[in-house]
Amino acid sequence: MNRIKPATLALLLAGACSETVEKPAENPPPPWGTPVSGGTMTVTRSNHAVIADPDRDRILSVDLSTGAVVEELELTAGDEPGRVIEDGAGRLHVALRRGGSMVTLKDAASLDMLSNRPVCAEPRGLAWDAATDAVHVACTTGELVSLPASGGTELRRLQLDRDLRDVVVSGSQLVVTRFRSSETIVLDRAGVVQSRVRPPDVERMADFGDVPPPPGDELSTVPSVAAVAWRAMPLGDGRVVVAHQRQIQNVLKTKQPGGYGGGCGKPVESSFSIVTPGTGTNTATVQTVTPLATGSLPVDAALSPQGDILAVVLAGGQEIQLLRASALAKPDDKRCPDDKDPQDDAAPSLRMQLGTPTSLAWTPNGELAIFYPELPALVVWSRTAGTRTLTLPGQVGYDAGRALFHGETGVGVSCASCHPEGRDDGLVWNFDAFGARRTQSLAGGILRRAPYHWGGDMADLGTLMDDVFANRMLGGTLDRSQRMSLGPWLDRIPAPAGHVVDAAAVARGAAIFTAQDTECASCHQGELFTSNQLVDVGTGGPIKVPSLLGVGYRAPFMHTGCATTLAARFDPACGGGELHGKTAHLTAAQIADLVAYLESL
Amino acid sequence: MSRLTELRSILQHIVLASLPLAAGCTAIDDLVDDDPCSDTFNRTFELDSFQDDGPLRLRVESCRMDAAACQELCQFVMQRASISNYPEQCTVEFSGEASATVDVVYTVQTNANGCAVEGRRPAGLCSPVGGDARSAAGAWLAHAAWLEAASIYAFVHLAQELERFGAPTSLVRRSIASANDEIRHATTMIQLARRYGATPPPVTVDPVGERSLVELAVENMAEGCVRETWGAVLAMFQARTALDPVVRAAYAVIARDELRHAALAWDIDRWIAPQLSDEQRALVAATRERVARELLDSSDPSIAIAALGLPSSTDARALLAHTYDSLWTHSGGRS
Repeated sequence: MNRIKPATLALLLAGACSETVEKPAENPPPPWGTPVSGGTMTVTRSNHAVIADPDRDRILSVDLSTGAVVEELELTAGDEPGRVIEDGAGRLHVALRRGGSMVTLKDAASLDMLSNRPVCAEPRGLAWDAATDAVHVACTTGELVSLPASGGTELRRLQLDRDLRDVVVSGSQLVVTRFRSSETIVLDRAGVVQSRVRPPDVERMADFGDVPPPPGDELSTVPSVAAVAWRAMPLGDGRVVVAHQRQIQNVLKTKQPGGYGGGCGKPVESSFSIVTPGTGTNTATVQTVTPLATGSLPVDAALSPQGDILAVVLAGGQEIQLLRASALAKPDDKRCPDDKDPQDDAAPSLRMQLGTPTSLAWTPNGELAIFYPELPALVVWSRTAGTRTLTLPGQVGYDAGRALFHGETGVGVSCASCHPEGRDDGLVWNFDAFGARRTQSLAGGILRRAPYHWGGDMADLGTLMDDVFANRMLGGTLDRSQRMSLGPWLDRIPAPAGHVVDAAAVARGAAIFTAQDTECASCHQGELFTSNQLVDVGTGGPIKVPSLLGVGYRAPFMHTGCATTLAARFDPACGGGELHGKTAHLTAAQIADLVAYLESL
Repeated sequence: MSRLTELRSILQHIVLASLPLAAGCTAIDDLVDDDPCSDTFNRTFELDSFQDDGPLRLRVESCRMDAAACQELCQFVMQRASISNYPEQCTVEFSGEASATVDVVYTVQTNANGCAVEGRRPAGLCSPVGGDARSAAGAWLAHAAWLEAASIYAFVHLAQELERFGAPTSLVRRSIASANDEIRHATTMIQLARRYGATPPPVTVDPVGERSLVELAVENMAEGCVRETWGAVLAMFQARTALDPVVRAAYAVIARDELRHAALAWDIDRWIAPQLSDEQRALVAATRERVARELLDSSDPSIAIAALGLPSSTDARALLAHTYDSLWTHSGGRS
């Protein structure tokens, strides 16, 4: 048996010969990076990868023919560049998610900025419309804005629903997705809404756990409901494929390790659906697709120019899956999301060990470019030549909290599965111990909002993570750095922007909100609009007063999600009546003003 | 209290009662001093060309910024050196921007025999042939993956036989669900085995003809009530003690499922028992005693591999004895 040796000779020599021997830093560095949103790169017809780097607020252009970084454009700190598209003239358009504008660049070779046009509070999806040479911009606050690609003032501004994500031009129609609901809205060229569709539910095997199914029930199933639509892209034949999540509606168990795992082992799955926009009198349809991608956070996907491979980023598992596009025609009839047919894989998954991939795009000649922001690096995969890694300029980005937040746990989900972009999934979950609970948003001053959860039963983030992450999600025990890093990293995520349609109504609503007789501000007080107290507002016991920052973004409302709109919150059957502020005396017009104010927060 | 809840309570009590002993065994010195089957190695890696090596540079620079990230660096350089063990000690020092020294301590088990993963094995299961492993942990995981894959056959066959004997649909359904669990387990274990550089052997099962109800009862007692219950205990233990967080997380899920499978076996036993004669019931009880004794008396019921959280021989005996007293003796039995 060999004993443990003392310090090795090599170590001693290293210490003696080197001028400075440094140890790793004892404490983790300051917060780094933004929540992964995904899909922040394009490859141009000139074979340049144009990368929006939201973690460093810059745009890079890499000539894939030579592997050289040809240009780097520094943006303003906090701009958070997102989607990038190329138009017919080779111009590039980049949405600045927090900058609130769209940058237009001359071309990939120069990245010369032609314009930086304000669009909306949080622009997300972009699409270039060849018929009108316009760029359509989809906004979190619900606007669909059209601007001339060549520059100039906006051509049109439509107000759709909140939480718009991607926009795709399909013939003479626009297909717009909504992020958390995964709803698709189809508009005609005039901007008239023609259809709204959501991916249908599918059935998954139920969790047998401690709760037996009803007698005589041969094989219990639960619905798997379409949710968070990370990415939509055209299939080239008028249809649109949407990479989204599904919520498997098992009861979540709170007391046992892995209690969030269900009959098939996970509460959230990755999925694809195909939207056919429909023309004339035909409304849009959407079809399910057999489980293809296994893993959490399908934040980006793209179809090869040959049309045979669908590549998808599974950010949670830090891998790229290469799937047979032909399998998109197979409907979803599986019991479990992991019951995928191995024949549907076009090639082995790519696990480059370069951190979390966020974006991918195919080159004109059929290679696949993948962006890894942490190193940072660009990987190019070829069917015949394997992979090559191009190291990009910039310091290594590291944040233990960010990595923890996106990493896939033992039950196959990440924190970001239910809190995409650090916010919420818009879903109501059924817990064995609490009943229905709407996911809470983490954005907007999380460290000043303790205690946590609707019941206020988690005194601090460490307590919450020990229970929810380590135990229920099987994420493993947090180390010291993860404990120290997660809170400050989350705390930087701002609440979604408010939305003002009628400033006068907002002003009237503010007066109602702050008036003593309504008592709204007695609990929803201060900068975050919360006293952080537990209050019984007539909805079934003491509930933590939620912050109202960004509340307009957070439908459905109340802790059970019983109010689908802010106005519905004032229905006593859901909102608690006169125990929840004093609003019975308000007229319908005053309620509308109050809602307008809440929407603006 | 449901049967599952009751069984979970008993097994958790067994595992928790053994944990203080186990916790003492995970320290390096204890492993070196107490376990004659292990060799402990110290190895130093000089890193001086990581600037163009993306995966290595990412880990070196993360470690430079935060000591907590060094564990991943140590594991990474070990894996590249084809050392699949878990770094039990990890020390990193930097000399300027382009040079670092990584010093790791790890333990290798010298005795790979005595693999004691327990689970439901199908009738007609052939001995494993093939597979490949470069470490004791890898070998153990490969064997575990093989057993998990074999359990898929066992539960499918069990569901068919239960249906043939007119068992309640809930038992048939739970058997099918268990087969699905085992598919997931096998997938997980194969991935874990590969992580430790091992490839599991293929599963071969010879066809088995129709069996009588008493034959099913005997097999259910041996493979389910005893071996699967022991498998659940072991998995619960590993879920709490494995040094490798990935293994720990995997076994937390497996333990939950194996507990359900064990509860299923006891429920099947309870359904069959009234249909048997006194003589047949005595045969089933004798089977329980015999198989439990075989486990208890085996010379090396398990081997300690810290990364996987496997109990030492001493701990395994304590766990087995406790389980025997709680569930397998006539007085503590549940049938």
